[in-house]
Formats: sequence, C-alpha cells, structure tokens
Amino acid sequence: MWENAAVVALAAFAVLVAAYFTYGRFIADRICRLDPNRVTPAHALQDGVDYVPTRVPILFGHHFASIAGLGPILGPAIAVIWGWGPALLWVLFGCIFLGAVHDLGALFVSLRHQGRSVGEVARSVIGPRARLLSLVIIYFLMALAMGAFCNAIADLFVNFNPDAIIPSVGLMIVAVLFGTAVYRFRAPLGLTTLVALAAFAGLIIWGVEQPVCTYQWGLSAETVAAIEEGKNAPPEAEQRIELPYGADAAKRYLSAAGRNAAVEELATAVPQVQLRWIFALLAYGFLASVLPVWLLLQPRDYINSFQLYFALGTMLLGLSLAAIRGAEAAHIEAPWFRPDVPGSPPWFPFLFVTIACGAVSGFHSLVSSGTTVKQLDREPDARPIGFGAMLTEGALAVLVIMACAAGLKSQYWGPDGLYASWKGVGGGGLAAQLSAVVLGGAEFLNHLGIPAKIGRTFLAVTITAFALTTLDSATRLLRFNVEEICRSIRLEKLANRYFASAVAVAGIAFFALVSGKTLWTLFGTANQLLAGLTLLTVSLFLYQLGRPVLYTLVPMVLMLAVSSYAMIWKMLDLWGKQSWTGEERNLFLVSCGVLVLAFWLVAEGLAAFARGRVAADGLAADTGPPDGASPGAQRE
Amino acid sequence: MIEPIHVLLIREQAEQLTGGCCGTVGDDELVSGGREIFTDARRDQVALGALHRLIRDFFPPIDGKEQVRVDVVDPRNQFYLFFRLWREVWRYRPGLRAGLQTALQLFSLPAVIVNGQVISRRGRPLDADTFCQTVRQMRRRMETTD
Repeated sequence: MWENAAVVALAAFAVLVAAYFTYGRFIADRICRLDPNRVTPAHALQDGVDYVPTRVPILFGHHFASIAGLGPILGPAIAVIWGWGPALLWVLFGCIFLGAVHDLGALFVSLRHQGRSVGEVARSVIGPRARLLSLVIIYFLMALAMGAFCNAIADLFVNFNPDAIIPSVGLMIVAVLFGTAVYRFRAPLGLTTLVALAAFAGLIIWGVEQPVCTYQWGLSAETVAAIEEGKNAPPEAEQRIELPYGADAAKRYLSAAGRNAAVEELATAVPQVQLRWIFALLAYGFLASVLPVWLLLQPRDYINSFQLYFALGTMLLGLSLAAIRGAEAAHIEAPWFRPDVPGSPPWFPFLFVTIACGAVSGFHSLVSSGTTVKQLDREPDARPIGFGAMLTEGALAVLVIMACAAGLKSQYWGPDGLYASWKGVGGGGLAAQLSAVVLGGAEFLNHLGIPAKIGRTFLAVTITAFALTTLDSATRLLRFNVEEICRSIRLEKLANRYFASAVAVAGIAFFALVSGKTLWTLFGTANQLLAGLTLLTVSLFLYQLGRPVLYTLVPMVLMLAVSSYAMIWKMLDLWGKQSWTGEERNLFLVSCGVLVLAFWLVAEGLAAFARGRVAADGLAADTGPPDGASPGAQRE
Repeated sequence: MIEPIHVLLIREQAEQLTGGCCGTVGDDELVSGGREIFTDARRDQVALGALHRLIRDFFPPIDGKEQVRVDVVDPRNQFYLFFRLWREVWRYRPGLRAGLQTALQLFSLPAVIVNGQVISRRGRPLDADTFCQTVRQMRRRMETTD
C-alpha cells in the first residue's frame, strides 16, 4: 500500500489538514491570541488601494500565488536522492512546526505594528542594526537565486533541453508584441491572450521538432557528423541520441561509441557555450530591467501565469489518474531511505538545507508583511492565510517528491540512472535537478494524453520562462536593495541607480559564474537565515508581551544550528583540500560571508533578549491597543 | 430584507504574478524603498481605489448592515476568479450576452462588475455618478421585487 504514490500523498495531505486544526489552532489562539475584535490595519488604514479588507478565500489565493514558486519544486527534487521517506518527513515536520509558524508569526507581528514589514519591525524590536542585517541577507538571497537561475538556464539549454530554446526566445518576442498591442494599441485583451497562447503552443511544437543544439556550433565537422549519426540512428538501435538531443545525451552516446576524441572536444566546447549563454542572459537581465515594464516583463509574466497554473493543474490531475489506473507512474521506485549516496555530502544536515522553501522560507515573511497583512479583514484570518497557505505549499512539495519518486520510471533509480549517484542530480547542477522534475512531470502529463516530448518541452519552458521573468524584476529590486544598503551605512553618494545597477548585476554574475552545483545549498541557507531573523523578531515580540516563546524560539535555534552546521561542514571539506580552484576559493569566501551573517544574527538575538522585556524604541506606541484590552475603536 | 449589492473590482496588482518566493517581494518597503516597478498597474490600482472609497462614502452600512459588498480580486488569483465569475452569472442570471461578457472578464482588466453585470471594463473608465446611479437602480429594483 505504501508503495503507491497516491496513497502516500493522500496520507501526507491528511497529516497537514490535521495539523491545521490542531497545532495551527493552538499557535493562533494560545500563543498569538488572535483577537477577532481588534481592528486590523486593513480597516484602520483602509484606502481601497493597499489597505483593503479582503475575505479569506480571495486573500488565500493572492497569498498562495505569491509564495508558491520554484523553491518547493527544486529542493524536494534534489533531496529525494537520500530517499523519499526523510524528504517527506522533513517537509511535513518542517512545514508544520517551522514554516507555518514562521509565516503566521510574521503576519502576527506585522498586524500588531500597523502592517509594517518584518524588517522594519525588527528594527523596533531588536535594534537599528537588524534592518541592515535584513537588507544584506536579502541581497545575498536575491543575487544567489538569480545567479543560480542564469546558471541553470544556460545548463538546461545546452545539456538537457535544447528543445526549450525556440519557445523561450520566441516567448520574449510574443510578449513584446502582446505588450505593444495591449498597452499601446489598446487591442482587446481576451483575443490577444488567445492569440498569444496559440502562438506559444506553436512555438513549443516548433521547439520539439527542431531542438537548437548550440553546443554543436564551433565543433569540428567530424564530431558534428558523429552526433548527427547518433540523432538519426533508427529507434531500435542500441546506441542513439534521444530527443531533445542535449549535450549530456550526446556525450553518453559518443562515449559508448568509443569516439574519445569527439568526447574530449565536446567536453571542452560545452562549458564555453554555457558561459556564452550566461553572458547573454546577464545582458538580457540588464536590458529587461531598464526596458519599460509593460513592454516585456508584464506581458510575459501574464502569459507565464497561464503556463504555471496549467502545469500545476495537469500534473496533479495526471498523478491522480495514474493512481486510479494503477499505472506504473503511481508506483514508488525510489528507496525509502538511502543514507549512503555515492559522492554526496551527508544526508544530515544537507537534506534540511536542500529542502528550503517546501519546509520553511524566509521569503514568505516579506510577502506576509508586505501585501497580505494590509488586506487581512480579521485577526483570526491570519491562521488560514499564514498557517494554511504554508501547509498548502507543503502539499505541493509532497507532490513533487512523489513526481520524482514515482513519476520517473525505474531506470532513473537504477545503477546508471539520474539518481544513482550525487553526480547525476545533486552534483550535476541545478539543470540536472530541474531536468528530473521535467521528466517526472512529463510522465504525469502523459496520463492526460499529452505526448511525453511535448510535455517535457512545455515544462522546461515553463520553468525557464518563470526564471527569466523573475530575473527581470529581481534585477530591478536588487538595485533598490543596494541603494537602501548604501543609505543605511551612510554612503548616500553611492545610492544612485548606476552604481546600484552595477553592484546588482555584478552580484548576479558573481554567483552565476561561481558554481551552479552548490548554489542551491547556499540559497537554502541564506533563505533560512532570513526565516531565523523573522522568528527571532517574533520571539522577542512574544517575550515582550509575556507569552511563551518556545514555539518560535526552538524552530529558530534548530534552523540556525542545522544551516550553520551544513555551512561549516562544507567549509571544512574545502579547507582539507591540498589546493583550491578559483571556483572553490570563491565558494569558501561566500560561505564565510553567509556564516558571518548567521553569527551576527545570533549576537543580535542574545543582545536583544539580554535587554529583557523593555520595549524598544516606540514599540508601545506602534502596537495599537494594549494586549488583551478591548480596542476603543470598533471595526468598520 | 434586501441583500447587499455585490461589487467585484478586478484590478491588476502592481507586482509580479508568477514570482513565487523570489519575485514577489517588490511590495516590501524594506526591499523597494517605496519605489514602484509596475507603474501602469499601480495607476489602475489607484483609480479603482478611488472608486472603492466612493462606495464606502456613498453607501455606508445602515443599522450595521452593509448596503454594498465589495470584493477586490486580481489575476494572481485566476482559479478563484474563474469560479467567482461563473458563480456571479449563475446567481444573478443577467442574460446570455451580459452573462458571457461577465464570465470572460478574466481576460479584461480592470473591470467593475455589479450583481453579475459588467458596468465598466478596460478602456471605458467609470465615473462616480454612473456608478452610484447603477447601484441605486439595482437597489430600487430589488426593493420592488422584495
């Protein structure tokens, strides 16, 4: 029974639902003491623009759409290599006791501080340096994530999915035409949307039919001929290059055919082509960040939203159908627990930092205290929105674990499969991990009658388009972030768009060129540091209110201890090497930087607790009516 | 007792739709320093915000009961919006043409829908007088039927 992915998924969903009604209720009612009579910022500051009281079903959708992204997909897809059991248990445990408490806590402190962001509240509760700490962690996070995206897209285009190049580049052109038609020529949105989606479908089919093998550009005529031979080999041939003709498959074919000179030539060419792609993507990021939003970012984001919902919906439907039919795709092929993966770092602590967003994510505090808190109608609504949405994200992570453990056929878990060793999925870089998700997801889409090759390209393009859209907006945001850091350390002269843009792009480029293989772990650690800062702020606020802090402080300590341990392990591993490559040196320096941030955070926390229950500057004035007292003003 | 008039304001949100945990941080003042990226969408938001305030001023609750119920939805929430629009059509049955127009508002933003009928859509901004008149007419019609 426990070998059926649908049964496991249903059992996991039942645990999450039970947690919502038990632990979620306990945290909301006993610890936060959410008060239905207290006036929320949405009512107190109602302006119809930002502060709008919104009913739960609507706000839940808005909040969930803002927190769900690539994070809960990527992390579980990698971590399942240590077995689906620990990955699933960490998602459930982390989600319930850490992630959901963190998200609800962020909403709670922000609610009680007139909807101010967690960073601003941290300044009030912890001290002025906490704001600078938040800004620096956010810089690391965003630059790391964008660097990882650039690296992964380049890798995906060259090694795994050359079929995604035409639709991805084509989508930019479709978006520009769409933006011009809709925002400048006032074309009807409905019709234009249908045309854009039809064009996009056409691009996918074109991409499937004609993968663009950029790694072949610049290869000798003999090597190209050998690769073409592999592509054109009959389906029954023992050795052939399968669609979509990625460099990875070409390398395997050439090795098996004993063409060593060609393998060497390809091995030299691939990193160079990837590097060119990275530079092209960085140039694109810079260009897109200076172009008007309506021309590229906004229309592509709009088209991408249809892709994303369609992909999630069909994957879910495909998994359900596979389970009902008892097909092979619903049978779990992955081992329950595999602590000794060849070449991998130890499962503890790395599993816990690899699955970051699916279990606990610091980014969520920015969403909770950014838009969501300003629309909360009643305080008790924070439970379904903060706690409930995080559990729903956990459910998404459960689905991804099942997609990889069961959706991928048994050969992926066999001796030569993607998950056979760390080199395949963990050490293979982000693109290899994304490729695992793409292949597993395509298996599910296949149950709905979508051909595997179309499903694979569609999912690869969805992920690429999402990453590129995020690159556009994140480059802009990173520029703002750098300007804020300069102001915080009183270097106002450097807080100009040119210097800030240069630092933003340089940060992304640095991480994109460091190494794609370890960026995800670093990203996970930095993300958990931000979550640690939020939990520290929540704990201090609860402490000042005289409430139990165990339920927020223990998760914080646990998370900081595990992520710091992972970081130190990685640094000691590098330290023990005889000589370092440039990449390893950079990685060591970045790890040092992240570790310094962690210690800074701990020091701030200890200092703040040492100050005791005395409210920091202006806290009492900011929090509105005293805790437990009936508010003078009633809700409108 | 007369049911409140249902007003649905569909507007674009001035932030990335598909950002997930990496893109949709723009609204946090700590990150953006209060600057706007999506200026066009923000303009639409502010315009609908004025209408929202007007509804509150002109149709305040009577004896604690609201005369008009307003929901603000944006296309990040496509799943909810899709079902909500069809539910509006099913509930108020505004006729085939008007019903189809309402059901397809998922694609045309910003829009104002009152009791299942589109009274303002993209490119046709709504003035306050027309809006108040429409709502009053609807209330009167409901009172008569009641």
